[in-house]
Amino acid sequence: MRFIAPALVLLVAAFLLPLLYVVYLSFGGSSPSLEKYAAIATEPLYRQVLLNSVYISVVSTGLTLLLGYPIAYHLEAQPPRRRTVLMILVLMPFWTSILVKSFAFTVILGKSGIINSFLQWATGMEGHLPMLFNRFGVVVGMTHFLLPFMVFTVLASLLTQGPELRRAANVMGATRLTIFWRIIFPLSLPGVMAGILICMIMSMAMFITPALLGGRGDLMISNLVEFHVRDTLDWEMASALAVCLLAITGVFCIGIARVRGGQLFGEEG
Amino acid sequence: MAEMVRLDGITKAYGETVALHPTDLSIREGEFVTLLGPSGSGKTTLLNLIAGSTAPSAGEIWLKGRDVTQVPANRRELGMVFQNYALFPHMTVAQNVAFPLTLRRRPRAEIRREVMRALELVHLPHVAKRKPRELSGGQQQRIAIARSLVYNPSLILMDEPLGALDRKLREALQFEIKKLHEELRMTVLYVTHDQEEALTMSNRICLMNEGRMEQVAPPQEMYFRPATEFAAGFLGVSNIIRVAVEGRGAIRVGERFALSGVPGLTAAPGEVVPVMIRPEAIRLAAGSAAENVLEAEVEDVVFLGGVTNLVVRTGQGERFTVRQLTRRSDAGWQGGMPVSLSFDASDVVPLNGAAPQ
Amino acid sequence: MARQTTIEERVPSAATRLIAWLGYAFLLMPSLVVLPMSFGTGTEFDFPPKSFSLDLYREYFSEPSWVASTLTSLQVAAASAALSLLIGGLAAYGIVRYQFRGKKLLTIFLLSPMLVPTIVVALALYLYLGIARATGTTWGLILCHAVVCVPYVIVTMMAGLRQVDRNLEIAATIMGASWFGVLTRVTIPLLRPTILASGLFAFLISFDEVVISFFVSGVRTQTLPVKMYSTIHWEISPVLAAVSSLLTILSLGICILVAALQKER
Repeated sequence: MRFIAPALVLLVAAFLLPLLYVVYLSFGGSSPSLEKYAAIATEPLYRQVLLNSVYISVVSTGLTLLLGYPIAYHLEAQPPRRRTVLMILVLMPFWTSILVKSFAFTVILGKSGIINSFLQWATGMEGHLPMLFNRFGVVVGMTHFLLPFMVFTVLASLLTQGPELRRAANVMGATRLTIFWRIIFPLSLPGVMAGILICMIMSMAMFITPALLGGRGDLMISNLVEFHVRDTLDWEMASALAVCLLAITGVFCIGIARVRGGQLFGEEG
Repeated sequence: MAEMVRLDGITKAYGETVALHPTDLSIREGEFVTLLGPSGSGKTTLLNLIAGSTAPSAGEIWLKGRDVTQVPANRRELGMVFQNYALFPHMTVAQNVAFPLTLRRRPRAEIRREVMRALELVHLPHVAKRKPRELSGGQQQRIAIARSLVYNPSLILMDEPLGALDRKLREALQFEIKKLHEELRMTVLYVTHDQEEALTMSNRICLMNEGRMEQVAPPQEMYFRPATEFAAGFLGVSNIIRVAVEGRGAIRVGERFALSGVPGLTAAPGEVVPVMIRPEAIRLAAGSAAENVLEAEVEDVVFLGGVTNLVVRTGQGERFTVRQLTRRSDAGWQGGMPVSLSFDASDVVPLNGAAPQ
Repeated sequence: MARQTTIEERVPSAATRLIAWLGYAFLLMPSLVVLPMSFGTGTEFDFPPKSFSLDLYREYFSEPSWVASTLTSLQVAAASAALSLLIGGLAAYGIVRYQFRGKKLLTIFLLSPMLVPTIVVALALYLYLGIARATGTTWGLILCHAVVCVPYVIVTMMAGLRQVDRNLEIAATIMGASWFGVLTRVTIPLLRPTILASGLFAFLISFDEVVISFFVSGVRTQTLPVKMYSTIHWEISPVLAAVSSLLTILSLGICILVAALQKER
């Protein structure tokens, strides 16, 4: 207990209390009211932003799964040495600053960016594909950000399977396709579910990517929080939005705990 | 000789479950005592209590005439050898063995001398500069033993130290530990679930079952005069049957077989008591002509090399295992053969406390 | 003749391999674009650059606002990594080595900053520091970053501590080592790679942290990521390529260092 005390003090003082203060403000602070929540529920702006967030998150998470599962599967099939080397390809972007990535995507996707320049040169046509400051840009940036998380989660569940079941199925005459669809994939489903939920939590709360790669119409909840803090100075509204985001996260966390058999982090013993 | 360890009603309970019922035990200086029992019998709990890594629920632990019940593990002056060796991977062999001496702030020259002496005792002075992971399992355990005795602790605890080694190595190390014990007059409390190990190494065996001490006795006595059905069944092969008591020291085993002068039989006439007869104490003859024998039929013959085990069944349906030295001439035992059994009253061991301890 | 493929060979199908390699390429793309671009010249975005120079790096190192924000980031990251390593390490030790009531709930609480959206933490700390009049102070920023780093330190240190054989600590205790002796002579030496790795991770998390810093840092305590954020947002200057390359190399260096540490373990 005494070992935990310093961490506990820090997190109560600089995490729990601030969060409680946000909740307090969201209900109107010293003059309690549900005004802000009512506005979120009724005003079209908020409904639009919520829809944006859900749309972008679902599409990005889906793309992440489609790309991440084959990567995880490919990594798992490698001999350990090669896997370690290939893992660096996934770890590198994981540890790269999101600003570096966002900057790179503005250069890659922009009006006179790498892709458009190449297309102009190759086709000889004027004009460009709009890929930046719109939903496409946000989804690309988001997918890139989420991909390592999906790969790690799915890879972990593939690695715990072990070769015995596959060998047994193989001996019993199952083809590779049958083995994948009847054994490997169903057994990896908890990992896939956890990966989807983790990606949803992160994408719903994404701030930098929509701010830098999206356009006016691609605001997400986080951007709205910042808008109210910086531009309208409506802290109560910002707090109410933050509490909504927290609630959404909470629901997904319950989902994660479910698929992990009661463990949220898999570490709490 | 002086008393090294005394346990007074030591008890350990986790909530409702009792891991160790109140237990008394006394170990003399220089004695080699083995805690023997199946897993979950409480032997590891008892060892941890003495080591100080768990606190007892009740009772007292005395070491060398000092009550150490409340003394933390690091001030009990004990040595311990673990099944997984527990050598520090970040230290060399010499640093490992020197560790307890550096803790005691011994002069450097003395440490070097004592470390070499300990390594020589386990015949491994040449690996001093290596790291533990470069050594084989057997070598690592010998280093662990050297480390446990280098500072002359009053008692060395050994927790299944040979459990991770293969049979041949185990036997070699049993011999070495035994020799070290005799040369250095160390006091050892040894935990194992291997009955042969307990029989070969110990001065006394303390047989444990379901959190209780079933019997404490020297190996010979433990084997020949087990006190309970559990003790009889756990050590070696035994035939346990129920017999009617007919008089003082007299029992009836079958219609035509009665014995008198059974030692240690205290039950009153008319009672039915369990007794044990070892398979090698039973005489076997073909046919059923003789007087005062138990008639039976051979059910199964198991050839084990030097000895042959026969499973026979009496008319009353009791099964006996009989062990015979294999001779080429009598290789003719076959299933279904009628045989007659007999044994001496002195080989009959009354169980469940019927014998005075 | 049909070739027997055993499942042990585990060669993924061509389609899987194709998607996987496309995925690797996608993952690496930003770094691969940024590095060559950083050696370009002057004011235009050219890829690949027409001529190579160190102009952009020179610009980065001679512009006081870039240097100042870099120094702030280094300072904050070093301090918050040290702080979170100390208190996170202690917490992990307490969680792994001791049993107490409400342990599971407490662990979830200590790790929860990992799951709470950064924007929510950022807003909360912004309002909170406003009350405490600590907005824009360096120590405020360090504390905020420590909140985010501590859970990561706890998780890595817990995993590392679970790898340390409990019997080694018991053995040292029985040989006479005190609690402190066991910690300094056995546990910490065995944990050295884990301690270094979690310290490096904490440093990198703090160094790259942008959302919270964006809310709570002031003009004089602007961190490098905040400076980058506003530069990308408002003007997109080519010097960003040089900054990004340096950050990429920092991440790569720390990754390789951690991988090497794991091998040592």
